[in-house]
Amino acid sequence: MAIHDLGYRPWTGSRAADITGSLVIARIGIRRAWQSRWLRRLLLLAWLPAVWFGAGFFFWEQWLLHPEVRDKVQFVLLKIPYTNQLISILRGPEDPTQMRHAIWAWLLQSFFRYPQGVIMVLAVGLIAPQLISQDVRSRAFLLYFSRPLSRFEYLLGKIATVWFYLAMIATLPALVLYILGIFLSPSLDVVQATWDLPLRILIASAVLMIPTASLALCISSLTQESRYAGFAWFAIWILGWFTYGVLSSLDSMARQPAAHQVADHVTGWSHLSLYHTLGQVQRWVFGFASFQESQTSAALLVAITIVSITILMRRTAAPMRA
Amino acid sequence: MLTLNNVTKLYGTVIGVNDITLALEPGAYGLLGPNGSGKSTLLNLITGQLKPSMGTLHVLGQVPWGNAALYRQIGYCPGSEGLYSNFSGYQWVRYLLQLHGLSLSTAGEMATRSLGVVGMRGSMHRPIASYSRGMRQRIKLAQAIAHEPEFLILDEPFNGLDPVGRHEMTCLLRDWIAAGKSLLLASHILHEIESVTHSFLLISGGRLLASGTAEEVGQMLADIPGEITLSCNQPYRLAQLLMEQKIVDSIKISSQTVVVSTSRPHHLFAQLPGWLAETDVEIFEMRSADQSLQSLFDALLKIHQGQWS
Amino acid sequence: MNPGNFGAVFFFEWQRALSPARMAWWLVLILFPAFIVALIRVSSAQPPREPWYIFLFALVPMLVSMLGSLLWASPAVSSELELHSWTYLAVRPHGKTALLLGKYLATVTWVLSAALLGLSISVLIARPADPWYLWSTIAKLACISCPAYAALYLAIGCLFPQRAMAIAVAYTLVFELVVGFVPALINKLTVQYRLLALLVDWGTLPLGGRSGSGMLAMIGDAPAWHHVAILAGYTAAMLLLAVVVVHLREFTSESMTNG
Repeated sequence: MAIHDLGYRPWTGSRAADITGSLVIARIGIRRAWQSRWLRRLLLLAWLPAVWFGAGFFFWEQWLLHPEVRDKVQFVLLKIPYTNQLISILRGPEDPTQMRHAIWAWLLQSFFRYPQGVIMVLAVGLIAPQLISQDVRSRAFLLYFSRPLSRFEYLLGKIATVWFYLAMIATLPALVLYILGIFLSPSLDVVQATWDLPLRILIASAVLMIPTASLALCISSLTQESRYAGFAWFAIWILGWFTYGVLSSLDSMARQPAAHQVADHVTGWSHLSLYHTLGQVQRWVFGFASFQESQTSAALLVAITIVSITILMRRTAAPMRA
Repeated sequence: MLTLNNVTKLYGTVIGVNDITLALEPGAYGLLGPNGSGKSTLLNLITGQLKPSMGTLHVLGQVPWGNAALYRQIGYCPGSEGLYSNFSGYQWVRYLLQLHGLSLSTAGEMATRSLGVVGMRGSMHRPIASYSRGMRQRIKLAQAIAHEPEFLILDEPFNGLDPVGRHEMTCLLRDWIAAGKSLLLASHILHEIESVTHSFLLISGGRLLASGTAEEVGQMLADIPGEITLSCNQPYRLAQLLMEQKIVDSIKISSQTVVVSTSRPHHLFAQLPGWLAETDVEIFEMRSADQSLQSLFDALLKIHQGQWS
Repeated sequence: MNPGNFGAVFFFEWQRALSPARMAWWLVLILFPAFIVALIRVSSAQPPREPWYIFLFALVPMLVSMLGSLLWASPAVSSELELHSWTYLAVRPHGKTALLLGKYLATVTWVLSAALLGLSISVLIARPADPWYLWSTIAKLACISCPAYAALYLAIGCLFPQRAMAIAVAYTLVFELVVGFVPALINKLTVQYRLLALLVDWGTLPLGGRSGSGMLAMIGDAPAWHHVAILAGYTAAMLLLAVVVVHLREFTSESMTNG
């Protein structure tokens, strides 16, 4: 029986490691996504909140240097939503210079949760829906898996494409913010007080990136038409937001909280919203919630990741099984 | 039927179609060109899906862009599939007929008729997802002829067809022409067009390089300089013989092989047996380089660029 | 143009809508408001009258209309380009116009049916003090919001076919959900502003209390017919914009690159 020469077998030169297959897929995915003008514009927009929060670092340092304005600042903060955590820190008994870690953590957590959370949804909605659905429709699967490439390597390459852009949107700006905070501080001693924040940024990034990328690609693998995958992605977030918004508004109406207490207080309904579930775990990462408060949310994210990857592995194998 | 005056189509800085001037009487024509030559762009201009960046274009005396009346007179079968796989061929063709303003019943009758013409009547109620490649091509042709247009435009209609399918498609198109209707058939394969019509338009690099009959194209191919490899028992003797006849442009000799480059291969083929009869040179094998259309187009481009006369 | 042209598209699109995936989304849009209302009933005592109007307004004329129109209307052009079926429609007499109007009608009927069914189930679960009045108010708003959002997303889909859905979501977030609640001239340009004003008027919601003056600043005091007329004009303008864009622009399947 003649064994057919598949071309690459006679190669006797050195071969790259298997993981490079994933890197190739990721590189191509990144390059293809980069061709989208709208994604490039969104990436530019994603850095604007860093400017806003950079101003927050600046004003915090000014707040430390000028005690006479503290009451006025607190008065203003009372009018801004989602700041009850910040106000409770500022009203705490600690020496203000000791609050630096908490304030910086709050700024970084807010950065992750509010502007970058929304931009993440839009960016992944631009990138992810066609990543696998187009491969299914064009039968590129047959080309991929006629090479020495495993399902895991294929999926890792696809997920890495999404991770790359999420890192550009969230991780990198947050790290730049941290470094900016150091430059705006009176001395390098602040590094000693805040050395753990870069690690928390990386963990918060992982919390943001892993379940969302898995879910997005899972949706992409379920259909051959990227517009359905895109719709499903946005619908999950929108329906979750709405659910949380309506139910927490009901509770708020009963309690009549102040403006700054809106949304942050109610966590019971957060598990119905992926956005708020992510936010709850990020609060724990940055030290504003205990693990007991966040364990359900964390478990939910782990479950979403596991289910998404399971479905992904099965869907990726489906053309081969047929 | 078709008039183009200095038509150019630009995609930003990329030229799709470059200064084409053309006037075609009603009839059947083949648009022949390699991949990326501008055939699809030209067809998109003719079918009114694109507007020329420069120049004017008229189809059946009318400007095609946004011309509803013209769309009733032309039928277009594009190269891409674009079929709704969950619907049957009959439903799809009927739907497209309804867009001509026909009632449901009339559209159904005409759809059935056209599907019968293309040999799909037996399968017309099956979902398109279950069709083979050839059946899909026939469905595409059915939608193009269903509303009985005067002028049929086809982009690579033989793509993906097996030999039987090609033969059937050829017969269909010949019948179409025999009925006195007009046809413009785009392909990159000469013999596909040759089997249907004898009039060619040769396009490459967005330019209309030449037009003529099949014989004229064949003559052009025959006159293209090419390499011929001759395996023989006395390569140096053969090389000397060919040099004496002054018919070759260059010769390369290896152990048992002579590779000649000549601008008159036709003449060489005709005269070689006579020359060899007077010698003891034996030729075991003779191969010529693929006299492909690409060679033809390369040659035509060189002529247009002034490199050859 | 023969009305039968876009009638053909309308019926054809409804046939396409009977696929399992689309029917599943239709059911989701019907049942989601009912799910939320059920959660409200289970988790708290019967809210007073006004919150029901606000919740059902957020769920039906806003959420269901927006999501349904997003699924159907925004990819009207891009779906055909992606499938390479645009060509067949573009070379039909008035094919592009028929496609847009037919898809628009199909969108409105599909979304409105889901909205009204979902509203009916929700009102049955909510058991408010004035069920018929609540249902009729929200139903009237849905009958206005569905065509308006469908036209808006159709126009967005024609202007930006390559990233229609993402741009439609971004537009909705920024304009309808943020700018729409800013008490200034700019919010009058949004559908949200008009719908909110109609809700307050038709639902006879009080403008007093904590948010009284703020609410009045946000929605103004124009009569209801004024808002309905403007929304009708807005809908027609968006449809006209969509048709004009499709007629002026050159669409080919090859143009569907990552743009």
